[in-house]
Amino acid sequence: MKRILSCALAILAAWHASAHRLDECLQGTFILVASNRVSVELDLTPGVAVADGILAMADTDRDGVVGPAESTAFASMVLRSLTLGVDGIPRPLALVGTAFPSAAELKTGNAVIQLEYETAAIDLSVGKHRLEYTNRWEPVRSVYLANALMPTHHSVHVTGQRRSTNQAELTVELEVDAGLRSATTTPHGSVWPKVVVPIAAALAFGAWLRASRRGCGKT
Amino acid sequence: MVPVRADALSAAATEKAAKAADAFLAMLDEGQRKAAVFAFDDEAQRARWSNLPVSMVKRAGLRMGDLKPEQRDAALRVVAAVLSKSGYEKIAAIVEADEVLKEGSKGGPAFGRDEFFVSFVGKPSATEPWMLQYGGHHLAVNATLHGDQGVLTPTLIAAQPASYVRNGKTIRPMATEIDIAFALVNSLTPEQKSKAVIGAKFTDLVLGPGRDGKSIVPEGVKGSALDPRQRKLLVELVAQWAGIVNEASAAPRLKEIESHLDDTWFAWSGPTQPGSAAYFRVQGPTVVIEFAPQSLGGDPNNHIHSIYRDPTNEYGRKPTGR
Repeated sequence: MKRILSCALAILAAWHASAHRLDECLQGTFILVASNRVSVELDLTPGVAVADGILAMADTDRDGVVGPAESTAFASMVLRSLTLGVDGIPRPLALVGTAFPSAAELKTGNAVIQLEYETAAIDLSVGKHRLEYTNRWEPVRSVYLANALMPTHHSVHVTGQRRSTNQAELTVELEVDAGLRSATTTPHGSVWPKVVVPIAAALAFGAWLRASRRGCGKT
Repeated sequence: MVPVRADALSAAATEKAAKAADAFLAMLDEGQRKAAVFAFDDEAQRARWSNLPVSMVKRAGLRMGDLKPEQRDAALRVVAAVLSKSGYEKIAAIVEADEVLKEGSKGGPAFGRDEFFVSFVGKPSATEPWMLQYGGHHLAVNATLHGDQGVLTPTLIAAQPASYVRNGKTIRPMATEIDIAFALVNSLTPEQKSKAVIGAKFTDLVLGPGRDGKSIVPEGVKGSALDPRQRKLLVELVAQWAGIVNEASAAPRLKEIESHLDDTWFAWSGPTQPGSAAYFRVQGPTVVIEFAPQSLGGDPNNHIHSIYRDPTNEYGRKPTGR
């Protein structure tokens, strides 16, 4: 037993010497302001020393697999620690999707748990707006990054970002111009970035690939 | 005298790299060749890179430690042909830093020169598109070549230790970029600095491995607000990453970035005293560079990560209209 313990300590010491994130969970937030709603992508990367604990929170039936119902329950639990407001009005987030790595991947300390949320439709009037986001999930063993993504609508502009020192809080200053009113928007604005943009990108890449093979395209 | 066109120089550089790659592939047995070359549309292999050791994130291709010495030399000749002289020296110094890390480690992840992988996505060619991948712990060179185009984005360069001694000489693989970044931030006026310096702490890269296709809002001070001396420093800073690829491909790339200099932002997080551990980011319409000291396991200045991206041309996907 002593030998196993000293072995484990030696490995941990060696890993620590190599300075990889071991006992912290990196929580990276990306906020996308679409024409009529806000999406939040939260990427959790638990270090190897905390991965088991986070896995235990998700794998509630202890079968070693995080199934769809368990990943949804986990994402909903995390959601209770997130808040988002626009112009001082709380805008509840709803779960859109999750991508949970396998238990084995998670235990490497490198796998990313992706959680995606969004608000209900918001009527963003022309003018200035302020978005406030906070993440209070697992503060003791976490480090945070929080950033606004480039808006997908040309009439929505991010004019400033302010963060708390540890980035658990992010304030995004926005400005919406008149183009948003005249633009054609879908009833569900976030469909555009999620569906149309990837399809367009895939079509463009396919066309480029075909052209490349013909020798008339360029990289 | 008719000047030699820049695209002709780039095409010649690609031809030279393809010849070096063919020479390397000719030295391999059938099994090794199959392991080294992936289909050009293999998106999983294209994105298979990381800052982490190969024992934590598996790489594919050929492990340098499994090659015969002459094969290994030939593989490195391909890397040298794709990169500039200074770029190759930087990459070699990063690999050597990992060897130093191995010498100081007992157990734990696999480090050292043997633990780097070489692979091709697409068959090397002077005219058809292909990609060279060379990487391992703290290194991911992703170079897409197609005729007169040589694209190095996304590429990750990092170092631990960031300073070490070999044969009595102190080696700092990323010294120049650090020195220029501090010179630039300390050249800013108080007003410029108030815009450039972000109060929050950045513990890691925002757009590191696994963040392909993401485009964040730029922050800091804009190039249009800088004076000529500061703009020159900004270009010199960008050149430390843009100049890793061979000179013929780097020249038009730098010209492109310079053409957008007014809309290129410089942001800083951390102390501005030279020698401090500080994060910085350069972001323009066609470039994102992040530099992040890692505050884990000792001196953050001795463990640094950086990423070089082009949001419009990841893996050389931008069509040129021809």
